[in-house]
Amino acid sequence: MSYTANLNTQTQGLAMASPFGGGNTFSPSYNPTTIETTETGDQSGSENIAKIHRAQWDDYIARFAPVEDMLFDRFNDSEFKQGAVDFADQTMTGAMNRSFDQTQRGLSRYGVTPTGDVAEANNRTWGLKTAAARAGSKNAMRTAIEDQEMGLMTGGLSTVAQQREDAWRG
Amino acid sequence: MSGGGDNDIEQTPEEKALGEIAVNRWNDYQQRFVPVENEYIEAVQKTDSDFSEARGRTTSAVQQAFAPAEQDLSENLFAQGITPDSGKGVTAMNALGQDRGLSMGTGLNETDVAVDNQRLRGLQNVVQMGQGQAAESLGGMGRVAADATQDSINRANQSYQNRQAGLHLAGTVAGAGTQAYMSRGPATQGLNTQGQQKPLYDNTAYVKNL
Repeated sequence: MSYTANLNTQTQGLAMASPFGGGNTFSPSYNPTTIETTETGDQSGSENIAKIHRAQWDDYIARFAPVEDMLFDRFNDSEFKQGAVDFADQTMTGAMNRSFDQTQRGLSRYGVTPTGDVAEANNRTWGLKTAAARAGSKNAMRTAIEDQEMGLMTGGLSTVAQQREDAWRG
Repeated sequence: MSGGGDNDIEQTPEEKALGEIAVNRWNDYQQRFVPVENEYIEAVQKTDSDFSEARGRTTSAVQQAFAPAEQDLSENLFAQGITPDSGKGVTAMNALGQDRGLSMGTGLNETDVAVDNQRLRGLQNVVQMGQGQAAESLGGMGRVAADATQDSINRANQSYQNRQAGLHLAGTVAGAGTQAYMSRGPATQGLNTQGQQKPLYDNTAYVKNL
């Protein structure tokens, strides 16, 4: 009996694309919004400050709001987590399969082609280890993505909420 | 003053000066800082090639870390009179291969998450920049590679030590529980039943950190 690389046939077909990267990217165009200074008039100081407030808001909408949207999109992407979990499974399966092949090539360099009980026992342990590794990788990825989601709400997006609150308070 | 009902009091020269200076500062910010900020905004958005590059580094780190472990193990097998075609020899080499596969899969998945975390941290920094808050400095891509490399080396060393421990204990430890069940087989029971020094994939703490 010789080894058979039948650890997993689930990913033998088309490999799924990574859910990481490949998303929409945002390139802010450089368009400086310089302001003409008001130098005359009783209220020139206030008028200049008002111009800055308007320019700041325009700048925020043009360059920063799209980035906030990217974070919101990730947080609301219900399919991302499952995609990441499936991809982690595929990654682990592929890594175990490749290592299996590599190990058998290493043994064959010594002229070893295990047969019988030895081959059967090793096939069984490879299958068990691969199954355990796949389950572990899926659990770990699920946890990692859930941590990311929590981090988004308590990190970047929470400051957006604070900003809105501050704006209302004036 | 012009027109009726305009009761505004003329601003002081100081207030007017502050308004003018504020405008100058804004214009200066727009011309000098905004181009740099825009570069940062683009840089933090990781692309497919960033993920591929990081994965490539991890792959070669794991392979490089395990190659000497494999070599050392086979040399020690010979030294102890265990031939590669024996059941013990085959099982030991396969067990190390399983550790390498697990280390590779774990490393690649951790790399994906690490790069993605950097992307999200970067985007959050941009959001904070938009609110005038200071951005945290990023660890940089080099840190991700360094972590993956060190992890691979540690795992390879651990795998080698486990395999060695298994050889010394061959046939002497009965073992019980999950470890024995996972490893059982006609030629594997003695090698893989290693008492307190469990292989990586049966180590609860390790699997938890996958």
